[in-house]
Amino acid sequence: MKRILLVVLITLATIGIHAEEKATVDKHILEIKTLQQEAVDKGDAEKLKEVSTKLERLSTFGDKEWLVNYYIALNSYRIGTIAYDDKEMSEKYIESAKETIQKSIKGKDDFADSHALFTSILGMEIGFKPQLAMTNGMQSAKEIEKAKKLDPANPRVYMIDGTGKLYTPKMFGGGVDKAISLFEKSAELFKKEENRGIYPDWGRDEVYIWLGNAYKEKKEDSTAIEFYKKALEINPDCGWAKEILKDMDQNKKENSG
Amino acid sequence: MRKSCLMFLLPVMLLGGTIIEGRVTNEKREAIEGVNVFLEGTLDGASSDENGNFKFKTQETGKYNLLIRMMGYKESREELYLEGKPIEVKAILKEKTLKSEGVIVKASSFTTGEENGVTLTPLEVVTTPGAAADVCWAIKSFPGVQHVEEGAGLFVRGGEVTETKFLLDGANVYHPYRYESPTGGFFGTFSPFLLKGTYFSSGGFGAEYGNALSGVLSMESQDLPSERIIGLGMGLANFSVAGAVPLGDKLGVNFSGNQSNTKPLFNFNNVEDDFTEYPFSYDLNLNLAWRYSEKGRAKLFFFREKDNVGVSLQDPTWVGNYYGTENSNLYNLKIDHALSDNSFLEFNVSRTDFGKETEITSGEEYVLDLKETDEISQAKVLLEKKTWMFFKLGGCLEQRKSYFEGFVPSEEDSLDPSVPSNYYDREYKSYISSVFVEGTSFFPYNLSLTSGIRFDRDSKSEKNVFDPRFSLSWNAADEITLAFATGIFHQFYEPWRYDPDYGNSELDPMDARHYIISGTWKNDGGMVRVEGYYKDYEKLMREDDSLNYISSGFGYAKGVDFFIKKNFEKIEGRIAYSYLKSERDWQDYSGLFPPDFDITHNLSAILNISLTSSFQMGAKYMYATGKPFTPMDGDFRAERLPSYWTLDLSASYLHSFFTNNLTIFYFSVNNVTNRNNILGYYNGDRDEPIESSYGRLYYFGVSFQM
Repeated sequence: MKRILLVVLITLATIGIHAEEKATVDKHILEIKTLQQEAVDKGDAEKLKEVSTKLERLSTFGDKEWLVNYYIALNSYRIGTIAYDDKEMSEKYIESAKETIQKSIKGKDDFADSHALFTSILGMEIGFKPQLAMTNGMQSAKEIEKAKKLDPANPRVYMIDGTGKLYTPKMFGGGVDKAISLFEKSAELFKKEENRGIYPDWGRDEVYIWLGNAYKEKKEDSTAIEFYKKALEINPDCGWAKEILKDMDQNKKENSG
Repeated sequence: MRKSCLMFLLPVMLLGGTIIEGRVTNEKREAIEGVNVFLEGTLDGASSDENGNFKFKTQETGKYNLLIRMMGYKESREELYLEGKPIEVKAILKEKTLKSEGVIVKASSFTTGEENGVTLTPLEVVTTPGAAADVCWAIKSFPGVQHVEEGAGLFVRGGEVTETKFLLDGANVYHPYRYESPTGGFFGTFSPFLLKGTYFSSGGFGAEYGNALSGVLSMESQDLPSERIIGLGMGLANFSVAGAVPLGDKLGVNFSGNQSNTKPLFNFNNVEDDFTEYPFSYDLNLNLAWRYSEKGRAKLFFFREKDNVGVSLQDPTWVGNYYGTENSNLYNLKIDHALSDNSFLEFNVSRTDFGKETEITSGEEYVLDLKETDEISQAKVLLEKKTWMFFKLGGCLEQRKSYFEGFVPSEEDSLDPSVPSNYYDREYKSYISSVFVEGTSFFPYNLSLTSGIRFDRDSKSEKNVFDPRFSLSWNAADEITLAFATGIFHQFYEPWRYDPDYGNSELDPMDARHYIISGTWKNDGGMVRVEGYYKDYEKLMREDDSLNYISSGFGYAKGVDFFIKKNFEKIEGRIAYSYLKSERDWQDYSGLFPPDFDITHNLSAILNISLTSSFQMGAKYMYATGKPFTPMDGDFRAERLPSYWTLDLSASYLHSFFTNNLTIFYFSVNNVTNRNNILGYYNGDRDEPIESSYGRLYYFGVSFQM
C-alpha cells in the first residue's frame, strides 16, 4: 500500500512539475515581452542581446517553442534595424532572424504574425543582398497575403504591408498613398485589439510613426509631426518618435536660422 | 525507510549548487565573446566574456545537457552530471557553413583556404597523404585532374599540361613548376604556406580568365598577419624558416625561406637512382601587406626560386648526362580598394624573370646546350560592382620577352649524339592585351545567370579572339545546386612557335568549347558533386606532309567526374573519381588517337583519422589507367601501359612544449606496397620498361612554431 502511495505521489509530483513548467514558459514570455518593449523604446541593442540570450534558453523548455522562436526572430530583427549602420553586424542578425522565423513557421504554420514578420525580414535582406530583390519580392508578397488570410483583423499585418509599399516604387505596385491607406487601416484595427497576453501585440505606437514617415515623404511635415506626437501620446517612452521629432526640430531651426 | 528517505534528501541538503565554468574558442583557438552557455530546459547559464570565459552556478542536480550556442557557429552540447562538484568545460565551436542562398555556385570549381565553404582548408592540403605538402599535388587529388606522370603537372579533363593557367594575386605565372619537364614539373613553385587560399577550376570558368583552354589555378598570398608567428621546419629533404610579423595594426610582413636537398632522402631510402646531381632547390619569399586606409590595402610580394638537377641518361642506343638549372623571380604589387559599399577596384603590376639552362652531354660532346630566359611584365585592373546585378569589368596588358641561345639537335625529339646540332639565337617579344566584361543576374526560384565576354589580342600572331562564356546555376533546394556552363576558350602559343623558321607565323590560337552539367549536394558535414562534360578542340597544332606546323589539328574529350567528401567527428574522407575519353588528331598523328593524357579511370581516395586530438593518421590510394603507347610491332597508340597505383600513409603528432608553441612531428611512407610502376617502354618494347624510381619511400621531419 505504502509503495502504491509512493508511486502515486511521484506521478502526481511529476505532473505537478510539468504543469508548473508550462506556467513558467508563459510567465517568462510575459516578462520578456515587457523587457523587449523597453529595450526597443530605448533603442538599446545590448539590452536586446540580453533578451535574446534569455529567449534562447527558454526555447529549450519544450513548450511553445514556435512562439519563443517568433520572439527570438523579432528580437534579432530589432537588433538588425537598430544596428543598421554597422552593416556586417546588422546583416548577421537579419540572417539569423530569417533562420529563426522559418523555424517558427515550421513549428506553427497558421500564425499570421510570423508570416508578417517574415515579410519584413525578407525586405531588410534585400538591403544587404540586392541580388535577392526579385526572389525575396515574390516570396514576401506570398507571405503577406497568407498573413492577411490567416488573420484579417491583425493590425501588424497591414502595418508591415504598408512599410513594404512605402519603399516600393509605384510602377511595382507600391507608393506612398497605398502605404498610407494600409497604415490607416492598421491604426483602426489597433484600436480594436486588446491585450493579447503571451502573444505579440506590439506596434500600437509604431503605426503612427509610419504614418508620420509616409507624410514626411509627401513633404507634409506638419501632418507628419502630428502623427509622431500621437505615437508619443500612446507610448510616452517611444524613443524612435522622440528622436525623429528632435531631428525635425533641429532641421527647422537650422533652416530658419 | 527513514534511512532511504534521508539518502534521498542528502544530496539536496549538502549541495550549495554546482559551479560550471570554462572557456569557449573557435577552431583556431581564439576566444569567442557573447556565447550563450546554459543548461537545457532551464534559464541557468552565462554569456562568455571577451576572453571566452564563462562561469555560473546552478541549483539543479542530476543529468543535464550543457548547450553552447552562438550565432554563426554550430551548436555544441555536452552531457553533465551535476552533483555539487565544480565542473570545468572547454568548448570549441565550429563555424557554420553559409547557406548557398543567393551565392553563385559555378560548375567545376574547387577552392582551398580558410574562408567559409571552401573545399579544402590549408591544413587539409598539408595533411593530404602522399602530397608532399605541395599545392599541385593536393589539387591532383581533385576530380578532373588526370595522373599522367609522376609529379605536379595538372592535366585537366583531357587537356594538355600547358592548358592550365596559373595566377598568383592576379599575376600570370608562366613557370608554375620546379624541375620543369614536358609534362609540367616535379613540384609546384609555390609552397602552400605562402598562400591564403586557392581557386581551382577544371572548366567552364568565367570571362575573367583568358588564354587558357582547360583549367585555372588562381592562388592568393597571405594577408596582413594578426599575430606574430615564427616557424622552423626540418625534414629528411628540407629545411625551412617562416614567419609572420605584424608591425603595428596597419602593416605586416610574411616571410619564408625553404631549402630542399633530396640527397639524404634518396640515400636514406637506398634508392638506386641515376642522379649525377641530386635535385636541389631553394626559395625565398617576402610579402609586405599594408592597410593604407579603411578602404584599401596594398600588398607587395617578392618571390625567388632556384633549382638544379643532374641525371645520367641511359637510352639503349647511347649514354649521356643531363643537367638543368632554373631560377625565377616574381615581383607583384597588388592594390585592393573599396570605392563604395558595393564597388571595388583591384589593380596589380607584376614582373617575372625566369631563366633556365639545359645541358645534355655524351662523353665530352654537347648534345644540347640551351639557355633560355623569359621576362613577363603585366598590368591588370578589375572593377567590381555588386548591386541587384553583379558586374565585373577588367583589362590586362602583358608583355612577354623570351630569349633562346645555344645548340639544339637538328631533329626534334632526338637526342642521339650522332644527330648534328643547330646553333640557335633568337629573341621574341609579344604583347597580349585583353578586356572582359561579365554580369551575373539573379532570378526568382534561386536561379542565377552569369554571362560574359572577353577579347584578347596577341601581337605576335596578330590574331584577335572573342570568347563568350555562360553559366547558369539553380539552387534547387537548401543543399542542392544544379549548374550548367558553356563557353569558348582560346589559347595562344608561346611566342617562339610563331617563328617563321622553327614554327609558323600563321598559327591560329587553339580553340576549345566546353559544355558542363553539374550537380552539387553540400551541407555542414560534407559534399557530393557529379559532373559530366564534353570538350571540343579545334585549331590544334599538327604537322603537315612536309613537317611544317599548321593549325588544323582537332580532338575532343568527354567524361564524368565524381567527388565526395565527408567529415565525421574524427574521420575525414574524400574520394575523387574521373572517367575520361579523349582523342586527338594532332602533332604527328594520322587520324584520331588517344593522346598520352587520355587516362580512362582515375581514382584517389583519402582518409584522415584523428586518433586523439594531437595524433593524426592518413592514407591515400591513387589509381590511374596506364597511358596509351605504340607497341614495337603493333598499331599506333594501340596499347596501354600497366595501370599506375600507389598507397601512401602518413602520421603526424602535435605537441606543445610551452605556451603558444606548436610542434608537429610527421612521418610518411609513400608507395607502401613498393609497387613497381611502369612509366613507359623504350621504343615500345615490352622487354625494355622504364620503371619508376620511387619505390617505398620513408620520410620524416619536424616543424616548430611559436
